[in-house]
Amino acid sequence: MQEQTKVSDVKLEEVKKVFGHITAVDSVSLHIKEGEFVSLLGPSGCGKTTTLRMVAGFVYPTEGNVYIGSKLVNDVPPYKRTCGMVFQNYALFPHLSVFENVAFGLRVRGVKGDEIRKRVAAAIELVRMSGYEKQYPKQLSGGQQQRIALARALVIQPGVLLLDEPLSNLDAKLRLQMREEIRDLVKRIGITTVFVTHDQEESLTIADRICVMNNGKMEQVGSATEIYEAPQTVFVATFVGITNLLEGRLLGEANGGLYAVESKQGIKVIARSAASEPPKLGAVAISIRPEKVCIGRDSPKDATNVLGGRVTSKVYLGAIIRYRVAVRDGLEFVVEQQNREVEQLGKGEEAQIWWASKDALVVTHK
Amino acid sequence: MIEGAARKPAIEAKGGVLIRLWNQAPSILFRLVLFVIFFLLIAPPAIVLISSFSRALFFTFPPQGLSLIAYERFIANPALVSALKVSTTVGLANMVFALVLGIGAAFVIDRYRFPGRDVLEAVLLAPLMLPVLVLSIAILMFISQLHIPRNFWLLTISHVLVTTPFVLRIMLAGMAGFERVLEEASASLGARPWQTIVKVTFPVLQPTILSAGVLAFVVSFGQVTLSIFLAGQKLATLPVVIWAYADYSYDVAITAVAAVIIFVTIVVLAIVEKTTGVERVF
Amino acid sequence: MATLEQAKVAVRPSTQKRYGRLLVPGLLVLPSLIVLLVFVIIPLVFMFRYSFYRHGYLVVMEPAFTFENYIRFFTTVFYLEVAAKTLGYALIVTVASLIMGYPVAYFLSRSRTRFRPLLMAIVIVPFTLSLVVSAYGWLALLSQNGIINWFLTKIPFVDEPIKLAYTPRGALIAMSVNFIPYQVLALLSAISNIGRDLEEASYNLGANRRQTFFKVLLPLSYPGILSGCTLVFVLGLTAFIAPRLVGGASMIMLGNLVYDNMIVYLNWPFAAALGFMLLGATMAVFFISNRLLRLEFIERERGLR
Repeated sequence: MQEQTKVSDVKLEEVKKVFGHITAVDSVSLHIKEGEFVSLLGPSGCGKTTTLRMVAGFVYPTEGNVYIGSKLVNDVPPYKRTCGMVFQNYALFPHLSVFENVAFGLRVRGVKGDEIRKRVAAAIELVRMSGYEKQYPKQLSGGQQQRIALARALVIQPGVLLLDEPLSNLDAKLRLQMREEIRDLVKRIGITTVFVTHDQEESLTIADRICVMNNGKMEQVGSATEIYEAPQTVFVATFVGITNLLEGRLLGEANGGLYAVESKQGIKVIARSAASEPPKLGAVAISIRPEKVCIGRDSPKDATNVLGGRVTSKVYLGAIIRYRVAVRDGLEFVVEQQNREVEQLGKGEEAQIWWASKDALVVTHK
Repeated sequence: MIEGAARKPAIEAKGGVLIRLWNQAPSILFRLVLFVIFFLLIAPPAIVLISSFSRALFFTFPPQGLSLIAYERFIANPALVSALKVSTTVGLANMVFALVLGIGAAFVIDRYRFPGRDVLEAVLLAPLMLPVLVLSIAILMFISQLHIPRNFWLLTISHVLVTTPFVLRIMLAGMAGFERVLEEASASLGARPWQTIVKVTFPVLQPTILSAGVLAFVVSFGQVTLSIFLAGQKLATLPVVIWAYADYSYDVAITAVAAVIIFVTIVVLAIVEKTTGVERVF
Repeated sequence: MATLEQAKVAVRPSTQKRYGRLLVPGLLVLPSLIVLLVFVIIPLVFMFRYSFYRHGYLVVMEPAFTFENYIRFFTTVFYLEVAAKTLGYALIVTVASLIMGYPVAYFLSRSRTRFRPLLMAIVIVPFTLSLVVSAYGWLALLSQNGIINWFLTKIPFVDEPIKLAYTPRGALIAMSVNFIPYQVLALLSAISNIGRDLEEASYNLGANRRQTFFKVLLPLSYPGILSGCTLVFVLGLTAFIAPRLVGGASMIMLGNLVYDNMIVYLNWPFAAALGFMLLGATMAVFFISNRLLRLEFIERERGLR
């Protein structure tokens, strides 16, 4: 598409939104670079949608600033911002045909006949919906409506594309397919994209960077690998993926950026911290992913962090085998073993579990 | 057919027709009662429609022969034609006013949160509960004391009083089902607020507005009480004509007048059913 | 440019828009309120005042402050009889329309028939149809050679047509049927809210149809019955069109008194007094019904806890 609007970056500075007595978003700062695909991830009510709506202009921040393309837009109404938005239920205009839905943004801008036809055709082509121009939204399937909503948002050549849980109303199979399609499309155009979702898998697979939110606060921002492999907070560790969490106290720094932590059950663990600042002494937790934990009748001699226990359950999941191992004082570990030719344990058997210190992470309560 | 016939003896063998009838008696009776009630509901307009095409000069049942004489007399009578014009113009003017007032009020009640909102809604709907007879005489006395003559606009406004609550109620129901996210989508696509109202809000609410409008029209078109007191001689509406004639004399043309009102009512109900569905409106 | 943008931030949208926020809804709602004030509230207040005026011989209303209109009403046997009859008629019409409306409402809320929209439309027709037109239709139905008498004379024991047109009996039939829609609309939501399973539970516990109706359906649809009956009763109190057209000259209700004093005798102060009393009665009925409804809801809340 020619005369493309310049792709913008989005900057949130200490943004806060209070509804009555409820603080929906609390001092969120985030810089989304030009062409970057960022996902806001969190449970419902965590403030991710409110954050998105502040970028779109439907909600004005109580405090802080929102910049789109280095322009302060705090008081700019939504129709003067250059944000294309795709809504959860698509919000296609029921009284307009597919063509008119896509043309809507151009018409209100005063774009004229031929130009409209050309650009709408291009947008519909882009989402592979050519031939459906004359249909009405009610006649389309969920996935098709989704595509039209995307075309409608993109045809106005926005600087930023905002997606509010766009896949939540699709069935599982279609969701996977649309996920890839959206990512390909967005990357091809090179548009800055903010994607809100409560689905961690969706978030991990689609975004360049993920911003995990909880209770209106930003917990951690990082790539999928960083979020999964190096969670900094208890919330991130537990919300994204499954983890073994040991509540405890930080005793002090061991050598080489490793820390000594004593769990409530009295287990001493050496763990690493992923946070930029060293963790403070006091209450922390240890997160160890199930697949990082090894299991066997006997641990190798060079193994660190070895614990003895008893297998309480064994679930066969095909590619992996998931054990629950009772260690002590009600502490139970989830352990995932790759289904290779390694020795498998049965329910009730004595077992030893161990992991490398670099795989144990100090996570804090935020 | 054959299957049914083959199966029948088996059932009868068990209990016999009489016992089955006895067992089904309550539901048969219920159906009969329903039939009679529905008949009573539909009979008055139906008989008027039938009689309007009858050749007889007074109601007789069964009807005797088809003719359009009633309608011919209607058209030939300048007083009746004038009444038709008055009814139509008052109905249309009333519809415009009622829509403007009702939609405006519905917007405020639906979109804004403020103390006293419930009270406002109750006050605006209150005319639905006010006895129209009392309202009519109060307005007549009031304007007479002020030496204001009865005129077209007064009659129209008096109709607006009773039709606006209808519009308000229908609009509130319609707007409750309106997805506000459509307006956000419109804004995100660059439409200014007035563009959103013109291009999204009104078109999406259009069926509701149409329903409310035609109902406001038909309520005014059939309104008797207000018109009897406030129409005066020159502005007699169709219902006033029927009232006046039935009181003093008989003319078959009146049957045609009544039939026209019934036609209009049926057309309006059909429009409402097609657009929003009769049930959602009442 | 940057300073300009910064300056704009200083004016928070909330303060800037406060007046605009009041302006738009005000402009939208004010016309309705003005129309109500000028054409409903003020005329009603003045009507109250006129009810203390005197009927003049040269002018319709002569300014005065006298209770004679009210005294005349309460001391004239004829008027009291009319009032008593009006109450009686209104009650009869209320009960009759309820009895006929209930099965219809029950059927419409339970049935899955595809004719439902049509049946609903049949119920709505008398609701939207002009009062005079249905009165006119009833006159035709009830006349000596109308369909009802045609049907009755087919029954062996009825030799002669029964006089129904131009009798109070006929008018009461017409009014009862005309008011069915009000009952049905009020009952529909009430009955729809009673789960079918409640009825089935009742049958399952051994109750027969009659017991289920009186012990389950009727008590649970009480709010619908109350609001429907209230509306119909009030409409019955102020009716004057069907009584005059169908009931004939001999049927006089309070509404007819109002009409006659307004149009025929031109005794407007007396009409004002009658109108004011009718208004008062209407408001009293609504008030009582509202109270009863609220009591019912409170009891239900308690029952739930």
